Order: sequence, then structure tokens, then C-alpha cells
Amino acid sequence: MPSETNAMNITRPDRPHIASIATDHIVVKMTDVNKWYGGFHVLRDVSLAVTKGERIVLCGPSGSGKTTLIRCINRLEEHQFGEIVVNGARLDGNVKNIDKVRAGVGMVFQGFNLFSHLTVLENCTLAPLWIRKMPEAKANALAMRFLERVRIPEQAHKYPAQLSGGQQQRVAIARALCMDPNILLFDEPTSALDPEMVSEVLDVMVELAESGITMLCVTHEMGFARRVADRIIFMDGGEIVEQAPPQEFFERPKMDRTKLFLSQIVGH
Amino acid sequence: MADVVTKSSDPVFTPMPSRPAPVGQRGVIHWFKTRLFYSPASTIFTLVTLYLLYSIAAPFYDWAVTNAVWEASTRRECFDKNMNGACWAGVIHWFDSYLYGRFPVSERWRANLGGILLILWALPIWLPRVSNKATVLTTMVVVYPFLAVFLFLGGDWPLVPRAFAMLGVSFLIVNWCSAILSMTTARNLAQHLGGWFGLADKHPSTLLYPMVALHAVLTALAVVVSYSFTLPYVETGSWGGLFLTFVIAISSSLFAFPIGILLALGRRSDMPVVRISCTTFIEVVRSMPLVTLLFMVIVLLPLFMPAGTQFNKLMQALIGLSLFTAVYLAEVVRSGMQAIPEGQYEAASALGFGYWRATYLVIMPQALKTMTPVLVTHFIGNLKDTTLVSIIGMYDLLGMLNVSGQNPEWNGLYQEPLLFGTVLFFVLCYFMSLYGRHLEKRGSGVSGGI
Repeated sequence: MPSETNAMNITRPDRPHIASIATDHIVVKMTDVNKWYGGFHVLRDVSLAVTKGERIVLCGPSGSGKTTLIRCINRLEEHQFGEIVVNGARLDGNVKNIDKVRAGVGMVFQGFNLFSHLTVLENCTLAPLWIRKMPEAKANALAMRFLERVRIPEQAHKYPAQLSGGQQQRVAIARALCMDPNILLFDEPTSALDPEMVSEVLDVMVELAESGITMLCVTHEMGFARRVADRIIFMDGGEIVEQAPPQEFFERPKMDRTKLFLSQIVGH
Repeated sequence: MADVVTKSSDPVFTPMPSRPAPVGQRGVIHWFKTRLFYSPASTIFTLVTLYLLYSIAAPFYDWAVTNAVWEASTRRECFDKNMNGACWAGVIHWFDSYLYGRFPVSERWRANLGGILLILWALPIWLPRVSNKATVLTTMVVVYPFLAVFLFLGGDWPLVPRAFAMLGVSFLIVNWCSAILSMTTARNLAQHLGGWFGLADKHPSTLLYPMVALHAVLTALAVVVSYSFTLPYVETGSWGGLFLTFVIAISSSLFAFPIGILLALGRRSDMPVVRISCTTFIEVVRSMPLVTLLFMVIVLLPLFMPAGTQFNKLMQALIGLSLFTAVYLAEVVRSGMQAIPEGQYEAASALGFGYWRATYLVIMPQALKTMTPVLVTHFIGNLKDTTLVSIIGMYDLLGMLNVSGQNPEWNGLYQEPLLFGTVLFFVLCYFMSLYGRHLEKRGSGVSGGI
């Protein structure tokens, strides 16, 4: 395993991003990350550096490891080899570091995962109350501010099951924002939604992207990727095949695998 | 969101109004026709069944009502009045003993008071807009038992246990004040006190400090008052009847609950030592008949304890029953937790919650809700299982029902008391299951989908 200093100065011709960016602005740094599910090698030598405020879209066929990659960033999945440093804390099984990382990284799931026994407002205030130890009135005000930002303050006292999928996903975004994260992870946030509701969630995400928060987003919404992403990462077979700004990615993809993928998702 | 453009020339869709079903397809006659007299065969079957029911019910009615004797002072007198009827006079004569066993007559008010206090204690849980329900429930499990034992057992208590018992008085008063305040002013006592002491803009946990002080003062007062009288000592051996059944059923359920949750968590643990020991314990106790377990606790437990340890039979029975109930509860809790999607744990972890807080705040509340019907079934089973303590020589309701027939004046009086016991148990269990069904419906109403 490379030591920390080596990892920071690593220079590889095929990964120009890593060398060219000033290290103090890097909020997520993955170096040669490998992960196996039993015998299945799901992440292979993944190296990635994300700078502050960068908006990254990960795409690729199913099983390509993109979801696993972002789940490694807040340690919902454990990597077995390589190094991941998030907000200056190294993810190596040290519980303090994991807590520190999770406090700064918000996550939005494909299946919303709202707490069904709590109201929308309680969903948003649970973590600020118990982890940030915030007074109740302050937590409520904070939650209402974010619920307004995702445009559902009027649903605050309903239970998740009473909301539509799009509304639930917007609550999930507000819940993540209430912990004041500097990095947001989105795991296919619109894949479980009815087509009618995709745009209401994407609108909120576009707004967030414009606010300057660091975002890593696994999605198949190529319109969204083209509009907000600073960089698109294409993965296949657990490897990063190609990464480029959207214009370049869509118009002049280099690798044949990328071209095939793009022709399949855009062609029909 | 895009605005939807409609023009006034667009055709308008109006849903059709609903209509009642055709006349022949609804109502009482339709029900009888389709359910009882659908075909010649079903008509014959209905009539035969009605005849069989009649041939059982008619003689029973004659015995239990028509020929029954309601007033007599011995069983002999019952027979003299009517040989073919039930001797309800015996049940009436023994009624108080069925309720209290050999609890001294002059002290029975203490058993009643204990029951009333328990109901009073639990009442705020069913009132609307009460915000301290969790405290009410927790203190009912943790604090009320001391007060109840103080009341039932009586005698002279040293200061520390006495203070625990009197803490119960303090909580009962404070819980009610808090409940009434939260119903009338939408803020509970802790929040009011916090407001007066200027803690409102601090973290909610600081609201505890004034409450602790209040409890200390009230408990001290109650202790001082409690020294002004002494309740006569009533040893547990003379507790009996329905009172003992309730004491055993309620306390073993209460003890079993936390043990069951811990065992369930242990069985799902990632740590092999914890998982294997919990699994072994559950499987061993679960594969043992309850009677065997009760005998083991009575006969074997004293052998493992230091010589001279005094054992109380009631305590031993409680340990046995609690463990037995706990392992079954553990399996219920485990299945309830398995029904909670993995995503709930992940969402809690992603927000920064550790294992215990995620379990306490996110997983358990949801799991308990899905488990409600099964839990009620288990508590009903537990209430009925308590009758087994009569085998190890305790006079619970079943024990007392059998005692009356051994009395020389009422020799052989068994059928009537047992029938009375059957009806009593049925009523208790049926109301519990009705309440369980109500909880189930209410639970699904809150979290149910559209």
C-alpha cells in the first residue's frame, strides 16, 4: 500500500486529474481503491480526486461499480485495498474518522430511505438534535428552511407514506442538507421515481449544484449531467474507463467502450 | 414544473357516480340464501348443525341457569336444594378468595390500591396530545414495581429501597402534572421548568436538571411521610388468586421485554461470541417445556447459589417465567427487526448515527410497531402460562379454584369454579386481543400507504 505522502504526489500519465490539482482543495481522494464481494472484484484500482465545489456525475452500465464507489466514500461499504481520504480524514476502520467523515458527507438514496415512523419534519431534525445536539427550536427552524428550499414546507407534519415518490426524495435531500454537509452523494436519486416526478427532483438538484456544494451523483439522467456536471466519469467492470467535462465526454469520447455506451443510451 | 395548458374547447372528463348493487344481491335474505341455504346439501348441513348445537346447549343451560342454586352455605345444602343444577353459591362464597388468595382480608385494599395506581400510571398513554408518553412508559417499567412491592409486601423498609419506592409516588405526581400541562398548554412540565430557568435555548437534555431536582424534593417529602405509618408485613406466600396471577403475568412480561430485546440484538450481532452465546441461550430455553424450567429454577437454582442464600418462591417463579417469555420475545423482536429494510440502517449510518442510537431511534420504533399483534399474542400466552405456577405450589387463580373443592364444607366443588375461571380468562384474553387488533389498525393508519 503506498504511504500517504506518496499517494498525494502520485503522477500517472493516464490519470491527468490527480497530478494537476492543488492538493489543499481536494475533499475526496481515492488512491488505487480495490474492493471485492467474495470473489467478485467490484472496484479495480480506482483513483479519483474531487476538488471542493466540483460536480461529478458517474455513469456506466449496471454492475460497473459506480454505486459501490460512492458508498465507499462514506464507508457504507468497506474497501479492502487502497486509500480513501475524505475531508482530511482517512477511512481505515478508525471509528472516530468514520464519524468525522459521515458528519460532513450527506447521502441521498435511490429508495429514499426516509424513517417511516417519523414525520417529514422529525426526519429532518433527528440527526441535528441527536448528533449536533442542537436545541429543538433551532433544529425545527433549520429543517423548515431546507424544506422550503426543496419546496415542500407545507408537508412538514405528514408521514413519508403520505407523500409521492418525488416529494419523498426531496425530503431526503432536505434531511441530508440539515446536517450541513460539504459533500453530497446521490445514488441514482431519480431511478425509483415515476416519470412524472423526475423533473421536480432534478430541479432541486440543479439548484443545489448552482449553490457550490461538492456533488457526486450516480445517475442515468444525461440531460442533467450535461447541464450541471463539471466532470463525467464513465465506469465499466469496476474501472474508471474515461473521465472528461460533459462537452468533451458527449461529443468527443475517446474510448470505444464509452462510444458504445453513449450510442446505447442516446440512440433510442 | 411545467404549467399544464388547457383550452375551454377541450372535452371535459367527469367520473361516473357510484350506484348500489341490484336488489337481489344485497341484504339479510341474500346473506341467508348464499351462506346457509345455498343448495339442498347445504340446507341439510345447516339443519343438522343447528340440531347438534341445540342438543349441547339445552342441557348446559338447564344445569347452569334453570336448575342452578345461588344461595347456600355448604355444598350439602346446594345438593338438598337441587341435585341437577350448578352450585354457584360456592363460587359466590369463595369469590374473594379467588381474587386475593390468602391475602389478609384487612389488607386487601393494598392490592386494590396497587392496581388502581398502575391504571392511573398508565392512563396518560391513552390521552391525546400528551408529550411525555415515553417517560410514563419507561417509569412504569422501571419505577412503579418498587412502589407496588412496597405496597403489597409492607413491613419495615430501609432508607434506600424506601426512597426507590417513594420515587414512584414522585413520578406518578410529576407524570400527571406534565401530562395535564402538555394537554392544556402544548408544553410539558420539563419545558415549562426549562423556560423559567432560562434553559429553553439549550440542548433538550439540559431540561432534565430541574426535573431531577423536583423529583429529589418530592421523593424526600414522600419518604418523610412514609415513616409516619407502617404497613403490616404480608409474606409473598399468602399472595394468591387473580391478584397473584396479575402480579406474575405483568412483572414477568415487563422483565422479559428488555431481556428479549437484548437477546434479539445479540443474536443479530456481528461479534461471534455474543451471537453464539445468545443463540445458544435462546435455543436451550426455547426447547424446554415451561414446567421443566419452573422445576429447574425451584430445585436447581439454589444449588448454584452460595450456601444459605434465602430463596423466595415467587421470585424464582418470576425468574423462570421471565426467561421463558424473554426467549420467545427475542424471536419476535428478531423477526420484527428483519422486516425493517436495510436502507433504514444505511440512512441512519449515513447521517452519522452509531449502532445503539440507530437501533433505539430508527429501527426499534418501527420494528415494535410491526410486532404489535404478535406481542399481544405473547402477552396473552404469558397470562395463561402463569397458571403453571400452581404446579409448583403457588396459589394463583387456578390454584385457588382447586383449593375451594378441597374444603370440607365445599368438598368436590370443582366444575363451577373451573367454569368461572374459564370465563374469567376468556374475558381477560379476549379484551387483550381486541385491544391488540385496535393497536394494529391504528398503527397501519399512521404509517400506511396511500
